[in-house]
Amino acid sequence: MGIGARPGRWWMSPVRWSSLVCVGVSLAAGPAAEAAQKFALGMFHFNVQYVCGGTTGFLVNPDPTLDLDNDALEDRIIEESLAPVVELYEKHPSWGVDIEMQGYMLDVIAARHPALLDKLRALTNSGQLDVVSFHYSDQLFLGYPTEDWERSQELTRASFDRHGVALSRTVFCQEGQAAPGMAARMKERGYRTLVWPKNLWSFQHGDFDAEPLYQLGDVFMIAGAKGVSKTVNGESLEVAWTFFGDGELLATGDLDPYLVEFFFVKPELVAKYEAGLEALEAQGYRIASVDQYVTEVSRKVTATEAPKLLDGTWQPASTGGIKRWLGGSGLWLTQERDNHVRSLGAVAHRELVAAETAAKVSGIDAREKLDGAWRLLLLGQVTDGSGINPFRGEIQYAVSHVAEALRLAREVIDEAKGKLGHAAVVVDPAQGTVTHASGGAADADELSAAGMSIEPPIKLVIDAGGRAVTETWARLGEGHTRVSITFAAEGASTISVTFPGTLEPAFEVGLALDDSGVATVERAAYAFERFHFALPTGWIGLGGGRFLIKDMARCHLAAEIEREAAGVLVEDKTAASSESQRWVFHILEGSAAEAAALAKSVNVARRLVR
Amino acid sequence: MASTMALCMVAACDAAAELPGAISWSGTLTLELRDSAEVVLTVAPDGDAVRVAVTPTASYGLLEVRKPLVADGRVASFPEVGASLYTAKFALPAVSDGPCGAEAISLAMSLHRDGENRMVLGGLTAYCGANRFHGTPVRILRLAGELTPG
Repeated sequence: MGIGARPGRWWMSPVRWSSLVCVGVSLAAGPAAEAAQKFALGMFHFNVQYVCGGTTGFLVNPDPTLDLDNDALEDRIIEESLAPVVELYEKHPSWGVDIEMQGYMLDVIAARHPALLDKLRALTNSGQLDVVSFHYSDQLFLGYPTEDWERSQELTRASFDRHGVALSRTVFCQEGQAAPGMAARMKERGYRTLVWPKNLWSFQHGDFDAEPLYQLGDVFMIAGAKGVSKTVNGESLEVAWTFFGDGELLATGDLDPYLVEFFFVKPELVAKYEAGLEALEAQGYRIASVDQYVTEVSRKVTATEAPKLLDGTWQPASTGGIKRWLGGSGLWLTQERDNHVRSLGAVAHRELVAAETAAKVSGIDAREKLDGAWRLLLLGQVTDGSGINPFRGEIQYAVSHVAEALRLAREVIDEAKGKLGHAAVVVDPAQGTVTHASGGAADADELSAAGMSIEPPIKLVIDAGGRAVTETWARLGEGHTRVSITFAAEGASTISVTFPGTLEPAFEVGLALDDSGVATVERAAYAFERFHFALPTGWIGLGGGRFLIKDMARCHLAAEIEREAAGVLVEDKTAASSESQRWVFHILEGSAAEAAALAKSVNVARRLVR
Repeated sequence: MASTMALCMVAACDAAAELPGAISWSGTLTLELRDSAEVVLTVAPDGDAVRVAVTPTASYGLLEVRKPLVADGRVASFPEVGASLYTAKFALPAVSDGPCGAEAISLAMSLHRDGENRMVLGGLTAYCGANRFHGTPVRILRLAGELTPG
């Protein structure tokens, strides 16, 4: 094949680990002990947005057999990779397993693969198969305010209810996204167990021997892909993982859907995996779902408190953590535009939140329109819009969906204005108000006001990649300043700014699914040298009582910190050389709680003049 | 703002002539990566209204090849981020062998532009049913490329 010789994620294919795990189990299993309890777990992560938008345009030259549109590619994934796995387990009613997918995938299955839906319905309702789902779209939910995930979760639950498929109590997510803030949200919605990827754990705390069961807040947690070998109350407990990764790769021979030419089921490989499970079963292993395992083990052991963990994805060593989706570059360097994709998602979030307020205050019936817009936003927040190796088709999928969501949101606001009889309005979602806009300076709040121009209060280190750059500071209030950095067009694709800080033993940061919370990161508690934070509401501490808040609608890039050094680096390695960018940050002198509150007013519930 | 929808039977570029003082942006955008669409955006002097002309080279069971779609749309500005969204709505007839079958097609254009950059990205979102520009789209046709002034 042409330019796309080895696209996608092949080089970090999770199935390779599962193979290793499986081999390890075979070697370590030994003779079955009478008193032993043995579990063989499998987590098949499926993603119908694996190549969102389809493969059309992936290769340089058109080829009707390889140019599959969105729906055709989705169908290929379902038919060639999901269906064989479901059918494998259907043959063995005593075997449990976890199949993870976004809620949207269930909708696609229901719409175009009803026979497979029937099987999923039967196998989940019998308790054999767990269909795991935490988000409607395979979106970068760690990078956006909680409301976006909440909308996503509602859609997912509605999808499962509509199609009669039981939703598992277990949680695993796209790209292995995991966050401590998920625990409270899981508990609220009846989930029981989070599967935390072992690599995201070891990246933060080094290698470890997994305990059978952990407690993370109010929910259970287990270490995904990490086997367990313990003696519990005099009884041996063995846990092996037979699969943990992209489910698409099992039946197709470790080939992903980018490789359309080869992405077909290979029955002999499914049979080989089946034989491996049968061998384990013969050794006394129970082929179980995570939920079945947790039910059993929670009766025997007291869950161990989980260590302090931070938000991230399942291969942090090779992706630079979440940075790969927020400024990091992949194979198709010149096609990527991470900041455009992710900041547009933030723009649309704000607009939809404002549209919700406008609709409510004006009393217009915009529910159907808004629901459709939220759905499009969530699809547009798909991880593959900016990582791991997105090609232009995936990037355009993300932007086109978000742009349409944005159109709908603005249309709702305009309808509300018409109903209220105002030519222009100030929408304040935090206050739940829509007021007449005078068109003057009084409309602007502290965030948008011009402010008083000041000399830089701190010295930034800006790498403009050879571009012309301007740095403008304004004082907006007591202890509150704003800096705007404009990178002109024509220059390198890597641009960055480093904010100086004060090295302290700990710093505070806002983490995912906890918009008002303050997480304290004790530097000495972690093993990593550097770490990347998504900043889903935009803020992180710089030390010395100073906080950085990115305006996510201008700059939605990862914040890089070093464990042993002060300061925060914000970098985009995917800036289009022919385009300018303008980044905006707020600096606050105050408390972490005040920073979290300001960040919410900037990025979560922004006051807008429309 | 409701759009005035019309199918234009004349050259799309003539649209600019109908708006004195307007600024025109035009270019060839990729349509679903393999195909293309000639796009002309004629922005009224007030900056809020735009006449949109889109001439596609492929149909996707939704569009008529090489026939300009013209509509009066709007420019949604986002002053706090310096961005613009060009939008328009097109009412299209049913295409029996297309994804909407016997239903009429409602086609919405959304094109995002960041700052003064010439790059625009977005799409043509097709909904099945007459005058139904929301819900679950039957197809989103991606548009991307540069528009130049004049």
